[in-house]
Amino acid sequence: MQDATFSNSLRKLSWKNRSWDAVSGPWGKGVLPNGVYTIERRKLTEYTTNIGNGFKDETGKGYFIPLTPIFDVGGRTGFGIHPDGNKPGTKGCVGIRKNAYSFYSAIAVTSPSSKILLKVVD
Amino acid sequence: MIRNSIIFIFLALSLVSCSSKNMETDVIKVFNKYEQLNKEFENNNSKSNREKLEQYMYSNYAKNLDYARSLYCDKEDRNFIAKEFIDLYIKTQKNSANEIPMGTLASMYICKPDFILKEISSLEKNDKKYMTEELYLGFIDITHNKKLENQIELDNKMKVLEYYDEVTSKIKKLDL
Repeated sequence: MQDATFSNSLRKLSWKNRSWDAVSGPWGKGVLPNGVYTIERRKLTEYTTNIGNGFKDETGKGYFIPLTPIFDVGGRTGFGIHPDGNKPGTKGCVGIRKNAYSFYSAIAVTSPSSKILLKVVD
Repeated sequence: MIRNSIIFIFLALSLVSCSSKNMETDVIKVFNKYEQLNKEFENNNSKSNREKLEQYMYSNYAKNLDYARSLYCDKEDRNFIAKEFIDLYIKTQKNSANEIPMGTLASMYICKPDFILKEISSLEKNDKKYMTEELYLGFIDITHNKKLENQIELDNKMKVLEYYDEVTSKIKKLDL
């Protein structure tokens, strides 16, 4: 499966020739550290209203997909990808600012056993 | 007839009180379990400890925060729930990207601000600064798209916190 990329400086999440405006940080300990993460496809939640407001898009629905670092992130925890609801910015997750549902759809059609990596770069 | 009604009301009230007591016990149990998983991860940040912690963080712990907020907000004598939560927050949240607890803290502040302010004011310097930042961030986060009738009053009330000015100017500088 093709890897996804997130650029902290460009604030873009890219996957399969598509890209989304997205942000990580600046709250808490800040941006998602550069390196490689597993996108935990099997743990993708439903696209639902039954999720924290900070994870919802403009339709009032949202989702969360965990990210597991495969390198040392200095003990930081709880990373994931979700729509960037409420006040712009996250505590290190990748928050998708626009068209968050299209990222969800793209991930949801893959097999739950898919191995998808996310490369985080400057 | 009157006697039966009194017995019925007494039993109903006892059941409500029991169920609320059970809820309190459950909330504290989940807090303790989360703290334990966090400690295990801090001692050994293996893949399996991370998995256990993060799985719990976004399932049991996240759901439990709703109950904790309801208990604190709906009953006058449940301030200890917020006290426990603030204590847990300081121990577990500093390395976490999970934004849900920040929203719970702000929700607790919105329903009963004085107790939250008192608790934060009683913390030692670094924790006080940290919790002031979390409270302010949580407050501006949950009121971003949802204005409250008493928002200005609540915002002004927060200014009694010793590090309010420092924290708000830091956040305004970082603002996206």
